[in-house]
Amino acid sequence: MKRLVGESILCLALFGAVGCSAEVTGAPRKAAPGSGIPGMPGAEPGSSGVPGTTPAMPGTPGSTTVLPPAPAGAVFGPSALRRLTNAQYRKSISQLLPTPAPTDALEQEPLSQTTRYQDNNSAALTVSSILASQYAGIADKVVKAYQVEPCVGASETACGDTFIQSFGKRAYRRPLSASESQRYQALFAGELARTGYTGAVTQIIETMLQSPNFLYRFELGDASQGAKRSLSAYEVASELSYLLTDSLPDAALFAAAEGGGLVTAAERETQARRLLTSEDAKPTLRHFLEMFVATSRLEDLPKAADIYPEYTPELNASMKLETQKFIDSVLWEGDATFNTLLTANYTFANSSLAALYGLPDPGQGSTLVKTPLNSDGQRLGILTQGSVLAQHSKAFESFPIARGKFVRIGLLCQPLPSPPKNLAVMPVAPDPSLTTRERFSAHSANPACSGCHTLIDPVGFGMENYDGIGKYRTTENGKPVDASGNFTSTLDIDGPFQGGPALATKIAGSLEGKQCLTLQAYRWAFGRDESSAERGVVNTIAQELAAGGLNIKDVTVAIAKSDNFVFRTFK
Amino acid sequence: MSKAIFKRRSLLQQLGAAAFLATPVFRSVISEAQTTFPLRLILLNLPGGIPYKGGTADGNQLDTYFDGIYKPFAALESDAIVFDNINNHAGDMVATYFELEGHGGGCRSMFGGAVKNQGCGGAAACDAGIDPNNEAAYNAKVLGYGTATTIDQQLAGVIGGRTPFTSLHFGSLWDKGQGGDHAECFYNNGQAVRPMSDPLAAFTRIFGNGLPTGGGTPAPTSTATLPTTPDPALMNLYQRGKSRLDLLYAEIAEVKAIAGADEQTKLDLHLTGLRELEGRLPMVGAMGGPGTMGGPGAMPGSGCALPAMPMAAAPTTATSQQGSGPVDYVNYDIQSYSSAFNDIAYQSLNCDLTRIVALQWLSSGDQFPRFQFLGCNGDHHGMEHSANGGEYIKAQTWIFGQMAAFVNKLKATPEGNGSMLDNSIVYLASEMGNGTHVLSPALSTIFGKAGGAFKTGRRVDAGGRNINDVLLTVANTMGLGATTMGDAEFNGGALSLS
Repeated sequence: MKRLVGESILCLALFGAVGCSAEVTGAPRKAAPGSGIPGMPGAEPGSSGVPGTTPAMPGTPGSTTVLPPAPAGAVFGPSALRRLTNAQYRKSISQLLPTPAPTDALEQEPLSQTTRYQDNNSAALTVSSILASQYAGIADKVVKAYQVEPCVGASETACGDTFIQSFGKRAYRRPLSASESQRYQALFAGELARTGYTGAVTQIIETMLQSPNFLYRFELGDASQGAKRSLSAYEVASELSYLLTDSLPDAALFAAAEGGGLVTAAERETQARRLLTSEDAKPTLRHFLEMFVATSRLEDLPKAADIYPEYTPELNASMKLETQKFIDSVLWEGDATFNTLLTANYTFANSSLAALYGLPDPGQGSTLVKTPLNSDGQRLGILTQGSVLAQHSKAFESFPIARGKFVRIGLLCQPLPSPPKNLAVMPVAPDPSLTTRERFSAHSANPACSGCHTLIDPVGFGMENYDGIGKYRTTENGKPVDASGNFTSTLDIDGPFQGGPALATKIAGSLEGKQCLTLQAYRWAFGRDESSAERGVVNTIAQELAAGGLNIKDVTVAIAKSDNFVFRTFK
Repeated sequence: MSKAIFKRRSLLQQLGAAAFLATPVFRSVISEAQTTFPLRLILLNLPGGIPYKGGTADGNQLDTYFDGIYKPFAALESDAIVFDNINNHAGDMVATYFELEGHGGGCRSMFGGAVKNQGCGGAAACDAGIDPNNEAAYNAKVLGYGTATTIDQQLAGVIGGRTPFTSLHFGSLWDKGQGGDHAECFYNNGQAVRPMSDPLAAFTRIFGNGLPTGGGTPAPTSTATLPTTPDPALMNLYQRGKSRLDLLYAEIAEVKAIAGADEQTKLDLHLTGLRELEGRLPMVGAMGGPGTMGGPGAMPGSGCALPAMPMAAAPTTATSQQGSGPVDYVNYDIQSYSSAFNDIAYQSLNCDLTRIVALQWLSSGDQFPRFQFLGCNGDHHGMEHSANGGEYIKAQTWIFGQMAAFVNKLKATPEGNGSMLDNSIVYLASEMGNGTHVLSPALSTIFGKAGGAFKTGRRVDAGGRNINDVLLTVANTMGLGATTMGDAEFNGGALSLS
């Protein structure tokens, strides 16, 4: 009300649209990045909300921008229905409404069976009964806290329609279709009659926040193109924004979608690089790399207090933060390469981490500061951080099998055979007279096991200088630790190595490692496993970027530029 | 419509959905009116096998079990039917190439019936011709053994609409194993139905109607001033919710019509969740819909009350219980989780908020030592591989104790001339057969008389019949009306248990 006059003038000046004068947004309002609702600060051009200019069906191209049909003969990945991850859901709400991101409990995402740690696999992301209930609870809570400003200067129905179009476009990440508009208009009218204007506006919000069109990202494309389809410009905008910022398209992306600015690879690159400069890109790419090294759920990692008394909640939190700050440093202050991620000679430490690592106390108490690693060859890069080493250990000991599997599956993207069917495997018994390596070596000598363990164990053994929480050790149970390792059956790093830094250096220098990071990024970008045909695209990207150490930001840009980003095979 | 219903609804309005459940006056009014009782299905899912020596050496003596591994169930021997020598046919088909399918596949089969692999029909055939470097393609081909919709969800589709929750699944620490395999056991049209793992969130969802604002049980409220006619504000609340859901149904239908075939099952699952929300709208009973909190179909038992609100959600740090005793060893205390879920599950049934419950402890891939308080230092998955080792038996026996505590609650709750247990089917199974990390032979057990349909206190030598037959018997006793469970070729027909 108090801002009505000025905003009405602005609205009319921008759009000249009937109903623009409706002032329906809440106060206090924040200029959320990308907020684009008429009447809200930061309204983006083109969001007139005028009925009659909308696409016929959800997911089909809006406005005038239609991507060209898929090239004949090319094979693209399947179309997917991608439920927002919990982080995406929370962030999207905070950018739609003047509210902080909800912190209410949400059912945890299942992790991908293939990557083991990625949480955005679309096949596993569904809206269960539990989640539907949680979404409803959050929507209810959000609208109860939402302050609706009165409708002035137009009929309540007109105000309502303006709100439906403008809020709907942001929530659905595209203009509403005619049928959607009609449904929401009827919903608004019914609630208006029952409870009044405020109730009707909040009903719209509450409903849209539970709509499949908000909760899922669609890859429906242009149905007229048949099985091989190009995505709509709005779908491409969402692909880009959620890939790089975990949230809604911002105003510039909306404008690009409407103005034909996402058609060419160069245009998508421009947008991708712009998004990569935003603050929102930092937590998004950080999360991807945390999943890459499997530390994204480190807070759930227990350890035996009697064996690792120094593993306190504070140390656990420090480990997680260390890896996060290190990733940020590599990506945003360094050269952003895979090579540096694995071989940087610094970390972020506080007093407790420094004590664990045998580094000089940085002198900042619990605050983590950038700290050079010792030149004694004990540590190098992310793989020798406590978070990664603790994650790939048991609660009470180091676990060379888990570490070996992580390298094979997570860092080299090599699937491993399962244990033989019906094989009863005796656990490796504790023996205070033996090292972990000695115990596991005997265990894996069983011919029924050795097929897999010859691939796994020699890699894991190479990290035996670190105990179950990543503390460096040269002896175990009074015997010297043997941290010699060996790679076999790799693309380009077969051969022996000695210790964690050597292992990291080998992987950093390998094409297979670079291909794997690119593949993991590809899986993350599309929220699904790759098809066989897509491996070629992945390997090409890795090959092209390998010489520079594989710039991780460039990997995401290359994915966004690829034809696979905008074309789908629809089944 | 009974006067009590309106009173209950008014309390719902004033205090939130949970409050009326704590008000004894209405429990007694309704329970006095009851002449029949709901039939319930409870699925008890034990990860990693039942450590016993199968076979028929002891004839039909139940003591074989109840003096042995089933000792925690000793008070329930006369309520049990033990099926020995069950064949979990998935054991023949579990693929061998990639890891971890055995637990998930075996579990899905034990709760849904074995089916042939969609893509290849057997392990050998599946392994043949698979590109070992393409795990995604492999999984797409061989995963999916076990029927698409497990028994709980098949029944939820038939009887679930009679209660606010079509089914409820609880899993103590099932998602905290970090083993990469949560052994998802329950499915709806190929989509996993995952258990609730946070007791406080479960409490909130079931008893708080999403509106709890603080700890503790709401105080009882006087009924003296309650209105006896429908409250217009509450009616508006119902209509607001119903119109919102109607729009969402329409949107899902529209999207489903243009979504790819693979995605349509996702939308069906979403739709199920929305329909459950509709069932919990406050005025549904008054509008003539299915029974809900106070609605005409609801049959809360005489002891219906709020369970204790769990103290807090999961610990947020890795060793937050450090220093608190034997649970120092791990931060997630399975004892607390189990106790909370037992209470919540029990009252969910007793208050007739659902008639289908699944309870699970851990997942079979759990990699952390959860049982140090028993003197066990191994992790559960390691124990499962230990071929009936001592720690494994201790851990499984402890879980049996938790199960028994739950079933004993049912038995101790009077219902007509019998107990809640008499009007229930409690089906206990594990995906890993007899504890040797193989799927067959398996032991499964039913507790409860199924409203008089089952004669209990006996052992049935299944003689290698497939688990499908047991499931078919249970499902049809619950009212499914099916001819097969899983693939027809693995069905030998229902068992006679009367």
